[in-house]
Amino acid sequence: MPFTDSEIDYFFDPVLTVDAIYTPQGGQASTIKIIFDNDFKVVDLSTGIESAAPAAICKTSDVASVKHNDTLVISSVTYYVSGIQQDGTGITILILSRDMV
Amino acid sequence: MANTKRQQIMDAVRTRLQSITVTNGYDFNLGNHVLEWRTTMLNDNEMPGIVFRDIQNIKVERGPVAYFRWGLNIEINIITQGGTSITDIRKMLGDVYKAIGTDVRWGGLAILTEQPNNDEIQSEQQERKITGVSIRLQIIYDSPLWEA
Repeated sequence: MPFTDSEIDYFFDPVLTVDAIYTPQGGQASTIKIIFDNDFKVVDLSTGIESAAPAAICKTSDVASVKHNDTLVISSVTYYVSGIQQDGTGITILILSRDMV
Repeated sequence: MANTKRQQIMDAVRTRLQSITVTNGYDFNLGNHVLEWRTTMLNDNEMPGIVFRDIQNIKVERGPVAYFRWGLNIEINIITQGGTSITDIRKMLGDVYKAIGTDVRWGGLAILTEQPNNDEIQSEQQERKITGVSIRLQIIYDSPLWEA
């Protein structure tokens, strides 16, 4: 069941969020509020490799037309959208990578 | 006590892999990061790089009298990070094969090096795109009885 706009705004509390510059390919950049998650992640390809699994929790309305390889700049680091997880409640999780898909 | 033949072969493999540099006529400087039996995780500064391991030594039939004949299985992993194209990954693979082919008897330490049964490319994208290439060689060598 989708959240109401006020419920989503409550979820995107300023204490929890950071500003990100979202730029769709060929489109205009805009600043949106996101919750940034950047957990440590091990990539195991015969040998373990230190990595991270960055993701941005966004309001779906802010990234309604998001596509792979659109960019988010977070704390001066440019990330490419490598995965899009819309949960149907008004929240979209963008899986991010510093390399293009 | 002198190093075993197995150790001498592994030293030769390390030296050979370290020779993979642009200066030596290869396409990439994979030789700058060659790690033997790395058991902890690689970080940003160590890629592209090579991790190699002597994972198994198996008995080979028809060795000379008073010698053991071994097939030393060595796994070589090339690890890259970032926007390395698949074309470049294949060139790195080519660099490793080329290096091995410069002397398949490893300075006389071995009888021969068998052609790998296969190689394998894997890729995963998290914060960075990470690609690994795995090659398994078998180096055939003789050692005196009850020596490795």
